[in-house]
Amino acid sequence: MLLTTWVLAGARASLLAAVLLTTLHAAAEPMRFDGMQVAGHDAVDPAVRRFTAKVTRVGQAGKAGRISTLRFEPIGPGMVAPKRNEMRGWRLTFIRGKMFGRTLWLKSNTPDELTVRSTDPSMEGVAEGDIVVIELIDPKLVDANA
Amino acid sequence: MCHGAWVKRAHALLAAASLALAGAAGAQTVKLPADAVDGFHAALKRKDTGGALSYLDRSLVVFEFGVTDPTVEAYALSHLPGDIDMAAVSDWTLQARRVGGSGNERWVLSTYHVTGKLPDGKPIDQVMQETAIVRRAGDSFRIVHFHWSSDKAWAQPPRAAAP
Repeated sequence: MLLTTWVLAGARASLLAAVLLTTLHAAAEPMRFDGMQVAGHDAVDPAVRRFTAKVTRVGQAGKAGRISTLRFEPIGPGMVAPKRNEMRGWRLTFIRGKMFGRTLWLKSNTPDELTVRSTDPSMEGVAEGDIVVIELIDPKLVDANA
Repeated sequence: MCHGAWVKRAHALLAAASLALAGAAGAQTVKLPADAVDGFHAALKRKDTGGALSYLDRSLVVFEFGVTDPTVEAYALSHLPGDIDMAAVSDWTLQARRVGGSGNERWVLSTYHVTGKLPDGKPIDQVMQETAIVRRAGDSFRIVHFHWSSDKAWAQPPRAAAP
């Protein structure tokens, strides 16, 4: 009986630990991973201008059912909210979420909202908490009329 | 137009369409394990974030100089930008490569001679060792693990002191 109680207590503790770990992992910010030091190497000058952001809200779908706007907030060291249309023509790549790896291009932005080009695919499936990196690939390639 | 000429033109159109489709598919499909590694490095050099990510499996784990990127998202946010920046100022020349494994799990071992110049003018001249494990998903190989190390101690980041 004592042994059974002890085994059951152990099993309950293991289950609780597993649930806690799963919850922590799901809620963890990308930069914090169980105390592990994040890999990297020598700092060199940025090859492109970059802005990283976390999606805070997904815009409403248009009449055609297309979602082209996102609300965001800066994420990462040194990131500050961009000026209006500072990132017009910049390339946006999703690095977290359902659209992971997909690339779109900015038509316009405010300090906390961005709109992608009308020729880009809908951002349906994007969710709060997804992360994007927005880069100025080549200033000469930026379409001022985008 | 006679029937023969019409058929000839249709064949030409079909061939052109096939080539175009093959080109589009080539960007998404990696038939050989080493092509995933080479495609990834080429994307870094092009500063193509999305392209680089397309070669990575969602279960990617990166080890570099004793530290870890435990998820592909962590790598994409904190490490990939640095790799793109480094690729922009350096040239990676493949020195040696071995490929092995079987079935859907393969490994690609490479050494590169990396040259270039750091912002402070210091020349980059090092040998970089790379272990890549790739996994076939569908008809394409994706990278599930990278491990990089270098023969130059100064190229490695300072490690946090042990508590």
